[in-house]
Amino acid sequence: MGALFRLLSLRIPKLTSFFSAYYLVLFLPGSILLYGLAPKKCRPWVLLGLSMMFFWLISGERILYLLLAIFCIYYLGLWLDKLAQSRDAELKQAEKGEKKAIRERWTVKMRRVLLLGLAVLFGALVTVKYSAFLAENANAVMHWMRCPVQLSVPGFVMPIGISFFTMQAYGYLFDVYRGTVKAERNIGKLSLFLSFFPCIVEGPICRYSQTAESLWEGKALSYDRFTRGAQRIAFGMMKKLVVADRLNAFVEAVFDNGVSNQGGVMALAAIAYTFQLYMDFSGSMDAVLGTGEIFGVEIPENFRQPFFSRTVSEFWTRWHISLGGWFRDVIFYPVTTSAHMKKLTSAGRKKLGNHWGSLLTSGIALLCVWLSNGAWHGAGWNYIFFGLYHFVIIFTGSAIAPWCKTLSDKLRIDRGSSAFRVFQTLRTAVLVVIGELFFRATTLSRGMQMMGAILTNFTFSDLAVKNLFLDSADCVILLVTAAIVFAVGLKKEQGMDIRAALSEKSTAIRCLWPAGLVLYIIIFGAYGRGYIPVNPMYANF
Amino acid sequence: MKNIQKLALFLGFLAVALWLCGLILTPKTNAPDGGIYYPDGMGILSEPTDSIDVLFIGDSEVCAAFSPMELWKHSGITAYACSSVDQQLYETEAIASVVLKNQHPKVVIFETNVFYRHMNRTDALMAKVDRAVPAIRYHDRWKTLTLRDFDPRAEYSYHNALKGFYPSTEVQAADTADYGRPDDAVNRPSAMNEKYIRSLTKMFTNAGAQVIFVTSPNTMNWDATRSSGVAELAQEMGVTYIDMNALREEIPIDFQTDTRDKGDHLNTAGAIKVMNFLNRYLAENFGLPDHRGQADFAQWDEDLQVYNQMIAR
Repeated sequence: MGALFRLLSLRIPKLTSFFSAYYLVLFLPGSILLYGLAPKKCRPWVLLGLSMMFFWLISGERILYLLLAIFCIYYLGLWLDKLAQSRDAELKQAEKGEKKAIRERWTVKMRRVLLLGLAVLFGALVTVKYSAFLAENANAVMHWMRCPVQLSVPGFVMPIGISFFTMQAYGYLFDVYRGTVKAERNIGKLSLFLSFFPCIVEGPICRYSQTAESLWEGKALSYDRFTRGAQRIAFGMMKKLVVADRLNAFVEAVFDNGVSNQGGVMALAAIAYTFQLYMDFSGSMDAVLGTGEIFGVEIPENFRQPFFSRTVSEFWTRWHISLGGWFRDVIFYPVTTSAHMKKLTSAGRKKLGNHWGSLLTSGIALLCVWLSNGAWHGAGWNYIFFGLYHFVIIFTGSAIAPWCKTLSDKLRIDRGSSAFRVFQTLRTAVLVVIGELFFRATTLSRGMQMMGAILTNFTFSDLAVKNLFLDSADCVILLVTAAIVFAVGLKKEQGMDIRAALSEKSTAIRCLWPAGLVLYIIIFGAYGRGYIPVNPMYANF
Repeated sequence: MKNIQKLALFLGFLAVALWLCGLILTPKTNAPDGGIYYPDGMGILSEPTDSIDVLFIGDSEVCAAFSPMELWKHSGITAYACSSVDQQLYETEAIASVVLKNQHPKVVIFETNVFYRHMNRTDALMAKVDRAVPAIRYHDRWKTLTLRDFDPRAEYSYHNALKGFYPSTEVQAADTADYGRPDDAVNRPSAMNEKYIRSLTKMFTNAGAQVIFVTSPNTMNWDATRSSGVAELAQEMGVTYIDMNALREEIPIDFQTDTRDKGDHLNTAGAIKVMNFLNRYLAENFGLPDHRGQADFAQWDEDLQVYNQMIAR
């Protein structure tokens, strides 16, 4: 075992990002070449081999966790399938009146298997991600109670992408449990679905029915898909290297090093961080989807122009879509449709009326979703607060929606007007930025302190006096790139496929714009001397 | 076929644009604030062609331990210290390839601390790409471009009177408890580093230089295992090796007073002791010319005055 660990942890250059030279110059072209040379039957296996190699290159010996987890999920899925088959066989022979009881009996059995899967996957996640947080808080409570016992704080190293992998793997088991997909009998196919290299670091959290078939199909490479995929990777690279990485030093200086106590500077840093996170994560998703496009794999979109949202609730259906969908299917719907909740809803409607009665149960489900969402992002009270903050905003929004409508009717505000839409969009952006301030703050108390400074000391003079790592030239490039991303987003919002539209143009334009984009990244990217490479931000969550 | 043409057109556009941008972005001066890489060592680009007889090369140990003007002062030997902080061997290669275009030193003193810096293949490969494409290497210079940058001819006129030496009067005593402790183990540089060391040595030899591996006095990064490793390698390659840590009498470094950062780098007092030894060593082993009094080297006398003033501070 020791020898295996030594073999797996060989000193090799580690892959760190989709935008590292190692990935873009060596790994990805090598993968495309190998895939293209392989016969159709072997292509999925080539992708599987590359995915395992990728995980090994980013995580070394922690690949053993991935292999073990895949093995468990495979057999748990088969177990669930076997139970479903036995249930169906019994149902076929049963009288009409017995069917409900049979279904319930088998559901209990299947739920136990699902819970076992939950315990295996989330047990591992909680152990490596949350045990230190839990131990520290338990120690704080015991210290406060003057209890002499103190727990040792474990220091596990998280396998990269474990949060995404766990969600995707549990999503698969959940879908088998619900009967929306059949358990996969080909362990290679399931392994590829769970470990496909573009998705394993930062998602999106794919559902089996969305990607498994196209992954296993082994489509031949095509020039059109290759160019479309490469163009999307380049666009993502522009977001990440030109904007996100450029903002990093400023964000770190304010959030981590406290270079300024001025509220205005902190507000700017919160805006910069929100912008950085969007450009980093959506840029990485462009690289992931672009890579999928090259291999002919259908990966679901994870972003849909979130900053065009009119409400915070809408924002979260456009940002990290796959996570929202997972919480909706695995937590929100099961909670709201459970027997207890149905009873509570009808009781609530009788006592509180239709609006508040249904809000009561959806509120409970929403609280579960947002607490889980906050905790999923990290082990810290600031993340829990981030979840609660969104719960309060979204719940309050739903609660007061009828009053707002009445008020705007009385004030004769045209809710369909462009001005009102701009107001809603800006209001949503402000609320999101406040949430991100707490999300990024090193601790919850630091977040509160920063928020306090914004409300009481809204000044900017430090911008001129202190070194905040952004000069006027940087700001110009940030604004120009933001304008490009905004314009592309606007066209997408209007239903236009820009890459398809550009592919209709003359050959010269079709060749010029990608070359211009690559040149723009090379010249204005924040990389090389004077910059510290920034790993994909969501890989840490 | 049509697709290949389109791809070729794209690559053609990109290559031409990168070449043009590279011409504009490449620094046109070797002044430290002009954007050139390794500015401390690149003052050598302003020195007249083939005017340097001894080249010191390596990482920051070089600019701390070797003061070329001490050679000029006592022997009239022209030397230059080409170094950079945290230098990797692929960077040594980059510096050497630039320097050897105009200089053909008779002796190259290759400081060995750089032999043990961990490198990975990707970084080495990327460094090659970086050097081959100036638009990537100097991309961030877009912020400081002036009209002058649109004329691709470079003017290397920045003159470094200290010839790459970094003087320091700071003193931070070293802990010498483990310094010089014997150890029979042999720690060779990694296979990849060794490949670079051999290739660089060949590059210097082909340029007409005699190469000497030298380890400058150091309590922090050096030990007996490394000394044996370099000695073994030097013997295989037929290169002279001097471990100054073993020459306590010839180079009486006092690590209580002669280091600026607890034994990692020497200060000026330490460097002068090292150079006293090298003056004697070079005189005994190489017939290097004394250029003092020669009209072509008058600038060196002016530089010596600047140097003397600097170290007297």
